[in-house]
Amino acid sequence: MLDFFANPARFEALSRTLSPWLLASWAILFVIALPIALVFSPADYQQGDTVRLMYIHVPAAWMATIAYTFIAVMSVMAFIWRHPIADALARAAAPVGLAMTGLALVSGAFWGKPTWGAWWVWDARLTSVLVLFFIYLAYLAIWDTISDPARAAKFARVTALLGFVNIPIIKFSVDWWNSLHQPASLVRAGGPTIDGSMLTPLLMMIAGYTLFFAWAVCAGAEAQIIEARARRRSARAPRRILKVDGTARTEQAEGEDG
Amino acid sequence: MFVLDSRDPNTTPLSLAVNIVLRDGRVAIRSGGGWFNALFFFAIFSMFTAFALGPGREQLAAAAPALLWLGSALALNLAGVELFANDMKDGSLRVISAENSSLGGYIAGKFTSLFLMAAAPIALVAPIFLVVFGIEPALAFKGAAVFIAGLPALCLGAGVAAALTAGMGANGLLGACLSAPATIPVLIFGVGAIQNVVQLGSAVDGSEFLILIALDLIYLVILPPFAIIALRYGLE
Repeated sequence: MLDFFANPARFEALSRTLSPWLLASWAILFVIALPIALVFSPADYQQGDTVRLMYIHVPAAWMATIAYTFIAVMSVMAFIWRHPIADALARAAAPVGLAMTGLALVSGAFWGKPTWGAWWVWDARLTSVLVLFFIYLAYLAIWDTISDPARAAKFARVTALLGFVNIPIIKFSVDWWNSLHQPASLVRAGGPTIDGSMLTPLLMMIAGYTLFFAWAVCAGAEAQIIEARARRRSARAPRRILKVDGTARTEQAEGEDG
Repeated sequence: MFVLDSRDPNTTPLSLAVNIVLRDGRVAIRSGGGWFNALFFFAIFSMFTAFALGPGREQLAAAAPALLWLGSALALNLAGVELFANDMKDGSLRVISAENSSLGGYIAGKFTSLFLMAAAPIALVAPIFLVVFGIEPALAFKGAAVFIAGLPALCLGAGVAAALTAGMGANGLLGACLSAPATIPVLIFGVGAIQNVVQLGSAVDGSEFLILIALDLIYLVILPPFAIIALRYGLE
Protein backbone atom coordinates (compact mmCIF):
# COMPACT_ATOMS: atom_id res chain seq x y z
CA MET A 1 0.00 0.00 0.00
CA LEU A 2 2.74 2.41 1.02
CA ASP A 3 4.95 1.31 -1.85
CA PHE A 4 2.09 1.54 -4.30
CA PHE A 5 1.61 5.27 -3.79
CA ALA A 6 5.34 5.99 -3.61
CA ASN A 7 5.13 6.61 -7.35
CA PRO A 8 4.23 10.31 -7.77
CA ALA A 9 2.51 9.69 -11.11
CA ARG A 10 0.32 7.01 -9.56
CA PHE A 11 -0.60 9.27 -6.66
CA GLU A 12 -1.32 12.08 -9.06
CA ALA A 13 -3.69 9.86 -11.06
CA LEU A 14 -5.50 8.79 -7.91
CA SER A 15 -5.71 12.36 -6.66
CA ARG A 16 -7.12 13.54 -9.98
CA THR A 17 -9.95 11.01 -9.82
CA LEU A 18 -10.56 11.52 -6.11
CA SER A 19 -10.44 15.32 -5.90
CA PRO A 20 -13.70 16.14 -7.73
CA TRP A 21 -15.59 13.59 -5.64
CA LEU A 22 -14.18 14.98 -2.40
CA LEU A 23 -14.98 18.52 -3.43
CA ALA A 24 -18.49 17.62 -4.58
CA SER A 25 -19.32 15.67 -1.42
CA TRP A 26 -18.01 18.56 0.70
CA ALA A 27 -20.21 21.01 -1.22
CA ILE A 28 -23.32 18.82 -0.97
CA LEU A 29 -22.76 18.18 2.74
CA PHE A 30 -22.30 21.89 3.45
CA VAL A 31 -25.42 22.85 1.47
CA ILE A 32 -27.42 20.45 3.66
CA ALA A 33 -25.61 20.96 6.97
CA LEU A 34 -25.23 24.75 7.05
CA PRO A 35 -28.97 25.59 7.08
CA ILE A 36 -29.63 22.86 9.65
CA ALA A 37 -26.80 24.09 11.88
CA LEU A 38 -27.30 27.82 11.52
CA VAL A 39 -31.13 28.01 11.22
CA PHE A 40 -33.11 24.87 11.98
CA SER A 41 -31.22 23.34 14.90
CA PRO A 42 -32.57 24.31 18.35
CA ALA A 43 -31.14 27.32 20.19
CA ASP A 44 -29.44 26.63 23.52
CA TYR A 45 -31.57 27.26 26.62
CA GLN A 46 -28.75 29.26 28.19
CA GLN A 47 -26.75 30.67 25.30
CA GLY A 48 -29.60 31.25 22.82
CA ASP A 49 -28.51 31.61 19.22
CA THR A 50 -24.84 32.14 20.17
CA VAL A 51 -24.54 28.38 20.43
CA ARG A 52 -24.63 28.25 16.62
CA LEU A 53 -21.00 29.41 16.68
CA MET A 54 -20.29 25.88 17.87
CA TYR A 55 -20.93 24.54 14.35
CA ILE A 56 -18.15 26.75 13.00
CA HIS A 57 -15.79 26.72 15.96
CA VAL A 58 -15.70 23.07 17.03
CA PRO A 59 -15.03 21.60 13.56
CA ALA A 60 -12.35 24.24 12.95
CA ALA A 61 -10.59 23.41 16.21
CA TRP A 62 -10.96 19.70 15.43
CA MET A 63 -9.44 20.20 11.97
CA ALA A 64 -6.62 22.33 13.41
CA THR A 65 -5.41 19.49 15.62
CA ILE A 66 -6.19 16.70 13.14
CA ALA A 67 -4.29 18.53 10.39
CA TYR A 68 -1.26 18.82 12.64
CA THR A 69 -1.48 15.17 13.65
CA PHE A 70 -1.67 14.33 9.94
CA ILE A 71 1.46 16.41 9.30
CA ALA A 72 3.26 14.61 12.14
CA VAL A 73 2.24 11.15 10.86
CA MET A 74 3.33 12.06 7.33
CA SER A 75 6.62 13.36 8.71
CA VAL A 76 7.21 10.05 10.48
CA MET A 77 6.50 8.22 7.23
CA ALA A 78 8.85 10.49 5.33
CA PHE A 79 11.46 10.09 8.04
CA ILE A 80 11.36 6.30 8.35
CA TRP A 81 10.47 5.13 4.84
CA ARG A 82 11.67 8.18 2.88
CA HIS A 83 8.22 8.12 1.33
CA PRO A 84 8.30 10.67 -1.51
CA ILE A 85 4.63 11.68 -1.30
CA ALA A 86 4.52 12.03 2.50
CA ASP A 87 6.44 15.33 2.54
CA ALA A 88 4.19 16.76 -0.17
CA LEU A 89 1.06 15.72 1.75
CA ALA A 90 2.40 17.22 4.98
CA ARG A 91 3.27 20.47 3.27
CA ALA A 92 -0.15 20.63 1.61
CA ALA A 93 -1.89 20.13 4.96
CA ALA A 94 -0.06 23.00 6.70
CA PRO A 95 -1.82 26.02 5.14
CA VAL A 96 -5.21 24.40 5.75
CA GLY A 97 -4.25 23.68 9.34
CA LEU A 98 -3.06 27.26 9.79
CA ALA A 99 -6.32 28.64 8.40
CA MET A 100 -8.38 26.30 10.60
CA THR A 101 -6.40 27.31 13.69
CA GLY A 102 -6.99 30.95 12.81
CA LEU A 103 -10.69 30.30 12.28
CA ALA A 104 -10.92 28.46 15.62
CA LEU A 105 -9.20 31.34 17.41
CA VAL A 106 -11.32 34.06 15.78
CA SER A 107 -14.66 32.23 16.09
CA GLY A 108 -13.70 31.38 19.66
CA ALA A 109 -13.15 35.07 20.37
CA PHE A 110 -16.61 35.89 18.99
CA TRP A 111 -18.06 33.12 21.14
CA GLY A 112 -16.07 34.11 24.21
CA LYS A 113 -17.29 37.70 24.23
CA PRO A 114 -21.00 36.94 24.85
CA THR A 115 -20.47 33.83 27.03
CA TRP A 116 -17.37 34.62 29.11
CA GLY A 117 -17.48 38.40 28.77
CA ALA A 118 -14.01 38.56 27.22
CA TRP A 119 -12.64 38.26 23.68
CA TRP A 120 -9.55 36.52 24.88
CA VAL A 121 -8.33 34.92 28.12
CA TRP A 122 -4.84 33.56 28.69
CA ASP A 123 -5.87 30.14 29.83
CA ALA A 124 -4.24 26.85 28.94
CA ARG A 125 -6.52 25.80 26.06
CA LEU A 126 -6.49 29.15 24.28
CA THR A 127 -2.78 29.66 24.80
CA SER A 128 -1.82 26.19 23.60
CA VAL A 129 -3.93 26.68 20.44
CA LEU A 130 -2.20 30.02 19.89
CA VAL A 131 1.13 28.16 20.17
CA LEU A 132 -0.17 25.73 17.53
CA PHE A 133 -0.81 28.72 15.28
CA PHE A 134 2.80 29.83 15.64
CA ILE A 135 4.08 26.30 15.08
CA TYR A 136 2.18 26.18 11.80
CA LEU A 137 3.76 29.50 10.87
CA ALA A 138 7.24 28.20 11.75
CA TYR A 139 6.62 25.01 9.77
CA LEU A 140 5.53 26.95 6.70
CA ALA A 141 8.39 29.41 7.16
CA ILE A 142 10.87 26.54 6.89
CA TRP A 143 9.44 25.45 3.55
CA ASP A 144 9.67 29.01 2.30
CA THR A 145 13.07 30.04 3.67
CA ILE A 146 15.06 27.01 2.47
CA SER A 147 15.12 27.14 -1.30
CA ASP A 148 16.11 23.53 -1.96
CA PRO A 149 12.87 21.53 -1.46
CA ALA A 150 14.66 18.30 -0.49
CA ARG A 151 16.61 20.12 2.23
CA ALA A 152 13.56 22.06 3.40
CA ALA A 153 11.64 18.79 3.70
CA LYS A 154 14.20 17.41 6.14
CA PHE A 155 14.02 20.32 8.54
CA ALA A 156 10.27 20.57 8.14
CA ARG A 157 9.97 16.94 9.27
CA VAL A 158 12.04 17.52 12.40
CA THR A 159 10.09 20.68 13.23
CA ALA A 160 6.74 18.96 12.67
CA LEU A 161 7.65 16.16 15.07
CA LEU A 162 9.07 18.55 17.65
CA GLY A 163 5.90 20.62 17.53
CA PHE A 164 3.75 17.54 18.01
CA VAL A 165 4.50 17.79 21.75
CA ASN A 166 1.90 20.56 21.70
CA ILE A 167 -0.99 18.38 20.51
CA PRO A 168 -1.47 16.33 23.73
CA ILE A 169 -1.09 19.61 25.64
CA ILE A 170 -4.02 21.07 23.67
CA LYS A 171 -6.13 17.95 24.11
CA PHE A 172 -5.62 17.65 27.85
CA SER A 173 -5.25 21.34 28.71
CA VAL A 174 -8.89 21.51 29.83
CA ASP A 175 -8.35 18.56 32.20
CA TRP A 176 -4.92 19.46 33.61
CA TRP A 177 -5.55 23.11 34.38
CA ASN A 178 -8.48 25.15 35.59
CA SER A 179 -9.84 26.54 32.40
CA LEU A 180 -12.74 28.69 31.32
CA HIS A 181 -12.93 26.54 28.25
CA GLN A 182 -15.35 23.65 28.69
CA PRO A 183 -13.98 20.10 28.93
CA ALA A 184 -14.35 17.61 26.10
CA SER A 185 -17.97 16.83 25.29
CA LEU A 186 -17.57 14.91 22.04
CA VAL A 187 -14.59 12.59 22.19
CA ARG A 188 -14.67 11.41 25.77
CA ALA A 189 -15.03 8.20 27.77
CA GLY A 190 -18.75 7.54 28.24
CA GLY A 191 -19.90 9.03 24.94
CA PRO A 192 -20.82 12.54 23.84
CA THR A 193 -22.75 14.81 26.21
CA ILE A 194 -24.49 16.79 23.47
CA ASP A 195 -28.17 16.26 22.66
CA GLY A 196 -28.91 14.48 19.39
CA SER A 197 -30.61 17.52 17.86
CA MET A 198 -27.33 19.42 18.07
CA LEU A 199 -24.99 16.44 17.70
CA THR A 200 -26.23 15.50 14.22
CA PRO A 201 -25.57 18.90 12.56
CA LEU A 202 -22.26 19.17 14.45
CA LEU A 203 -21.08 15.81 13.17
CA MET A 204 -22.20 16.77 9.64
CA MET A 205 -20.15 19.95 9.88
CA ILE A 206 -17.13 18.03 11.15
CA ALA A 207 -17.48 15.58 8.27
CA GLY A 208 -17.76 18.52 5.87
CA TYR A 209 -14.62 20.21 7.18
CA THR A 210 -12.77 16.88 6.99
CA LEU A 211 -13.79 16.32 3.36
CA PHE A 212 -12.63 19.83 2.52
CA PHE A 213 -9.31 19.11 4.24
CA ALA A 214 -8.93 15.86 2.29
CA TRP A 215 -9.57 17.70 -0.98
CA ALA A 216 -7.17 20.52 -0.13
CA VAL A 217 -4.42 18.07 0.80
CA CYS A 218 -4.86 16.05 -2.39
CA ALA A 219 -4.91 19.17 -4.54
CA GLY A 220 -1.92 20.68 -2.73
CA ALA A 221 0.18 17.53 -3.04
CA GLU A 222 -0.80 17.21 -6.70
CA ALA A 223 0.34 20.78 -7.34
CA GLN A 224 3.68 20.06 -5.70
CA ILE A 225 4.21 16.94 -7.82
CA ILE A 226 3.47 18.93 -10.97
CA GLU A 227 5.77 21.72 -9.79
CA ALA A 228 8.62 19.28 -9.10
CA ARG A 229 8.19 17.79 -12.57
CA ALA A 230 8.26 21.24 -14.14
CA ARG A 231 11.45 22.01 -12.21
CA ARG A 232 13.11 18.84 -13.42
CA ARG A 233 12.08 19.54 -17.01
CA SER A 234 13.41 23.07 -16.99
CA ALA A 235 16.67 21.79 -15.50
CA ARG A 236 16.96 19.24 -18.32
CA ALA A 237 15.84 21.51 -21.12
CA PRO A 238 18.45 22.81 -23.54
CA ARG A 239 19.47 26.33 -22.66
CA ARG A 240 20.18 29.10 -25.14
CA ILE A 241 23.28 30.92 -24.05
CA LEU A 242 24.04 34.36 -25.48
CA LYS A 243 27.74 34.71 -26.04
CA VAL A 244 29.70 37.96 -25.77
CA ASP A 245 29.98 38.39 -29.53
CA GLY A 246 26.18 38.36 -29.86
CA THR A 247 25.78 34.87 -31.31
CA ALA A 248 23.64 32.38 -29.45
CA ARG A 249 24.38 28.72 -28.91
CA THR A 250 22.24 25.99 -27.46
CA GLU A 251 23.63 23.85 -24.69
CA GLN A 252 22.36 20.76 -22.95
CA ALA A 253 22.18 21.66 -19.27
CA GLU A 254 23.43 19.14 -16.77
CA GLY A 255 20.19 18.86 -14.86
CA GLU A 256 19.29 16.22 -12.35
CA ASP A 257 17.97 13.02 -13.76
CA GLY A 258 14.22 12.86 -13.96
CA MET B 1 42.20 11.50 32.54
CA PHE B 2 40.33 12.90 29.57
CA VAL B 3 41.88 13.42 26.18
CA LEU B 4 41.82 17.13 25.53
CA ASP B 5 42.01 16.65 21.79
CA SER B 6 38.78 15.68 20.07
CA ARG B 7 40.76 14.50 17.03
CA ASP B 8 41.97 11.50 18.99
CA PRO B 9 40.41 8.42 17.37
CA ASN B 10 39.89 6.84 20.78
CA THR B 11 37.55 9.59 21.94
CA THR B 12 34.57 8.18 23.76
CA PRO B 13 31.25 10.07 23.91
CA LEU B 14 31.92 10.95 27.55
CA SER B 15 35.39 12.36 26.97
CA LEU B 16 34.08 14.21 23.91
CA ALA B 17 31.35 15.75 26.07
CA VAL B 18 33.87 16.81 28.70
CA ASN B 19 36.16 18.25 26.03
CA ILE B 20 33.32 20.24 24.55
CA VAL B 21 32.36 21.67 27.94
CA LEU B 22 35.99 22.58 28.69
CA ARG B 23 36.48 24.14 25.27
CA ASP B 24 33.23 26.13 25.49
CA GLY B 25 34.27 27.28 28.95
CA ARG B 26 37.65 28.47 27.67
CA VAL B 27 36.04 30.21 24.70
CA ALA B 28 33.47 31.87 26.95
CA ILE B 29 36.10 33.17 29.35
CA ARG B 30 38.64 34.25 26.72
CA SER B 31 36.07 35.91 24.47
CA GLY B 32 35.62 38.59 27.10
CA GLY B 33 32.65 37.43 29.14
CA GLY B 34 30.62 35.12 26.93
CA TRP B 35 29.42 33.38 30.07
CA PHE B 36 28.05 36.70 31.27
CA ASN B 37 25.66 37.33 28.35
CA ALA B 38 22.61 35.42 29.61
CA LEU B 39 23.01 36.70 33.15
CA PHE B 40 23.39 40.27 31.94
CA PHE B 41 20.30 39.97 29.76
CA PHE B 42 18.42 38.58 32.74
CA ALA B 43 19.53 41.50 34.93
CA ILE B 44 18.45 44.07 32.33
CA PHE B 45 15.13 42.26 31.89
CA SER B 46 14.50 42.31 35.68
CA MET B 47 15.32 45.99 35.87
CA PHE B 48 13.01 46.88 33.00
CA THR B 49 10.09 44.89 34.40
CA ALA B 50 10.59 46.44 37.82
CA PHE B 51 10.40 49.88 36.23
CA ALA B 52 7.39 48.89 34.14
CA LEU B 53 5.46 47.47 37.09
CA GLY B 54 6.29 50.29 39.49
CA PRO B 55 7.75 50.08 42.99
CA GLY B 56 4.70 48.55 44.77
CA ARG B 57 6.12 45.69 46.85
CA GLU B 58 3.03 43.47 46.84
CA GLN B 59 2.62 43.85 43.11
CA LEU B 60 6.27 42.94 42.51
CA ALA B 61 6.14 39.98 44.90
CA ALA B 62 3.06 38.63 43.15
CA ALA B 63 4.76 38.87 39.75
CA ALA B 64 8.20 37.66 40.93
CA PRO B 65 7.86 33.90 40.14
CA ALA B 66 6.51 34.61 36.66
CA LEU B 67 9.21 37.21 35.94
CA LEU B 68 11.96 34.85 37.12
CA TRP B 69 10.86 32.16 34.67
CA LEU B 70 10.14 34.58 31.86
CA GLY B 71 13.50 36.33 32.14
CA SER B 72 15.44 33.08 32.25
CA ALA B 73 13.46 31.54 29.36
CA LEU B 74 14.26 34.55 27.18
CA ALA B 75 17.89 34.67 28.34
CA LEU B 76 18.39 30.97 27.57
CA ASN B 77 16.86 31.33 24.12
CA LEU B 78 19.23 34.21 23.49
CA ALA B 79 22.22 32.23 24.73
CA GLY B 80 21.11 29.25 22.62
CA VAL B 81 21.37 31.23 19.39
CA GLU B 82 25.17 30.99 19.49
CA LEU B 83 25.34 27.48 20.92
CA PHE B 84 25.69 25.53 17.67
CA ALA B 85 25.85 28.30 15.08
CA ASN B 86 29.56 29.02 15.56
CA ASP B 87 30.60 25.36 15.41
CA MET B 88 28.50 25.05 12.26
CA LYS B 89 30.06 28.11 10.65
CA ASP B 90 33.74 27.50 11.42
CA GLY B 91 33.62 23.84 10.43
CA SER B 92 34.51 22.36 13.81
CA LEU B 93 31.19 20.48 13.90
CA ARG B 94 32.04 18.87 10.58
CA VAL B 95 35.38 17.71 11.96
CA ILE B 96 33.78 16.36 15.11
CA SER B 97 31.03 14.53 13.25
CA ALA B 98 33.55 13.05 10.81
CA GLU B 99 35.53 11.49 13.65
CA ASN B 100 32.71 10.35 15.88
CA SER B 101 30.13 7.84 14.81
CA SER B 102 27.49 9.57 16.93
CA LEU B 103 26.99 13.18 17.86
CA GLY B 104 25.59 12.09 21.25
CA GLY B 105 28.68 13.12 23.21
CA TYR B 106 28.86 16.43 21.40
CA ILE B 107 25.19 17.21 22.12
CA ALA B 108 25.58 16.18 25.77
CA GLY B 109 28.56 18.52 26.10
CA LYS B 110 26.76 21.38 24.38
CA PHE B 111 23.64 21.09 26.53
CA THR B 112 25.82 20.90 29.63
CA SER B 113 27.76 23.99 28.63
CA LEU B 114 24.51 25.87 27.98
CA PHE B 115 23.42 24.89 31.47
CA LEU B 116 26.73 25.88 33.09
CA MET B 117 27.36 29.03 31.07
CA ALA B 118 23.85 30.49 30.88
CA ALA B 119 21.46 28.80 33.33
CA ALA B 120 23.73 28.31 36.35
CA PRO B 121 24.67 32.01 36.70
CA ILE B 122 20.97 32.91 36.65
CA ALA B 123 20.24 30.17 39.20
CA LEU B 124 22.89 31.68 41.49
CA VAL B 125 21.28 35.12 41.42
CA ALA B 126 17.71 33.74 41.62
CA PRO B 127 17.50 34.09 45.44
CA ILE B 128 18.73 37.70 45.22
CA PHE B 129 16.20 38.35 42.45
CA LEU B 130 13.35 37.00 44.57
CA VAL B 131 14.46 39.01 47.64
CA VAL B 132 14.66 42.31 45.78
CA PHE B 133 11.23 41.59 44.33
CA GLY B 134 9.81 41.45 47.84
CA ILE B 135 9.96 37.76 48.85
CA GLU B 136 11.15 36.82 52.36
CA PRO B 137 14.79 35.55 52.23
CA ALA B 138 14.00 32.14 53.75
CA LEU B 139 11.27 31.55 51.19
CA ALA B 140 13.42 33.00 48.40
CA PHE B 141 15.99 30.22 48.85
CA LYS B 142 13.27 27.57 48.67
CA GLY B 143 11.87 29.26 45.58
CA ALA B 144 15.30 29.30 43.96
CA ALA B 145 15.68 25.57 44.71
CA VAL B 146 12.43 24.90 42.85
CA PHE B 147 13.64 27.15 40.03
CA ILE B 148 16.82 25.10 39.58
CA ALA B 149 14.68 21.95 39.20
CA GLY B 150 13.05 23.39 36.06
CA LEU B 151 16.17 24.85 34.45
CA PRO B 152 17.39 21.67 32.68
CA ALA B 153 14.06 21.46 30.83
CA LEU B 154 14.38 25.10 29.74
CA CYS B 155 17.96 24.49 28.55
CA LEU B 156 16.92 21.40 26.59
CA GLY B 157 14.06 23.27 24.92
CA ALA B 158 16.23 26.24 23.99
CA GLY B 159 19.09 23.95 22.92
CA VAL B 160 17.07 21.81 20.53
CA ALA B 161 15.59 24.92 18.91
CA ALA B 162 19.13 26.28 18.59
CA ALA B 163 20.27 23.05 16.89
CA LEU B 164 17.41 23.30 14.41
CA THR B 165 18.07 26.93 13.51
CA ALA B 166 21.83 26.33 13.30
CA GLY B 167 21.27 23.34 11.02
CA MET B 168 18.98 25.34 8.79
CA GLY B 169 21.15 28.41 8.88
CA ALA B 170 18.08 30.34 9.96
CA ASN B 171 18.02 33.20 12.45
CA GLY B 172 17.15 33.16 16.13
CA LEU B 173 13.60 34.42 15.70
CA LEU B 174 12.52 31.07 14.31
CA GLY B 175 14.32 29.44 17.26
CA ALA B 176 12.15 31.25 19.79
CA CYS B 177 9.11 29.99 17.91
CA LEU B 178 10.41 26.42 17.77
CA SER B 179 11.25 26.24 21.46
CA ALA B 180 7.79 27.52 22.44
CA PRO B 181 6.03 24.13 22.75
CA ALA B 182 8.79 22.88 25.04
CA THR B 183 9.02 26.12 27.03
CA ILE B 184 5.35 26.75 27.77
CA PRO B 185 4.73 23.70 30.02
CA VAL B 186 7.85 24.61 32.01
CA LEU B 187 6.57 28.16 32.46
CA ILE B 188 3.10 27.01 33.53
CA PHE B 189 4.27 24.42 36.06
CA GLY B 190 7.38 26.34 37.08
CA VAL B 191 5.47 29.47 38.02
CA GLY B 192 2.91 27.35 39.89
CA ALA B 193 5.61 25.47 41.78
CA ILE B 194 7.42 28.65 42.91
CA GLN B 195 4.14 30.32 43.83
CA ASN B 196 3.28 27.35 46.05
CA VAL B 197 6.53 27.86 47.93
CA VAL B 198 6.86 31.63 48.18
CA GLN B 199 3.23 32.68 48.44
CA LEU B 200 1.60 29.76 50.22
CA GLY B 201 4.79 28.97 52.17
CA SER B 202 4.45 25.24 51.61
CA ALA B 203 7.38 22.81 51.53
CA VAL B 204 9.34 22.12 48.34
CA ASP B 205 7.09 19.41 46.96
CA GLY B 206 3.62 19.15 45.52
CA SER B 207 2.41 18.03 42.14
CA GLU B 208 3.69 21.06 40.21
CA PHE B 209 7.22 20.54 41.48
CA LEU B 210 7.07 16.86 40.57
CA ILE B 211 5.72 17.64 37.10
CA LEU B 212 8.63 20.07 36.65
CA ILE B 213 11.09 17.25 37.35
CA ALA B 214 9.06 14.95 35.08
CA LEU B 215 9.43 17.54 32.30
CA ASP B 216 13.23 17.50 32.82
CA LEU B 217 13.30 13.75 32.38
CA ILE B 218 10.87 13.66 29.43
CA TYR B 219 12.80 16.37 27.58
CA LEU B 220 16.08 14.62 28.34
CA VAL B 221 14.78 11.54 26.53
CA ILE B 222 12.86 13.17 23.69
CA LEU B 223 14.73 16.31 22.65
CA PRO B 224 18.46 15.44 22.19
CA PRO B 225 17.76 13.05 19.25
CA PHE B 226 15.98 15.91 17.47
CA ALA B 227 19.03 18.10 18.00
CA ILE B 228 21.34 15.40 16.61
CA ILE B 229 19.13 14.83 13.54
CA ALA B 230 18.90 18.58 12.89
CA LEU B 231 22.69 19.02 13.07
CA ARG B 232 23.29 16.00 10.84
CA TYR B 233 20.86 17.42 8.28
CA GLY B 234 22.66 20.73 8.55
CA LEU B 235 25.98 19.06 7.71
CA GLU B 236 24.67 17.27 4.62
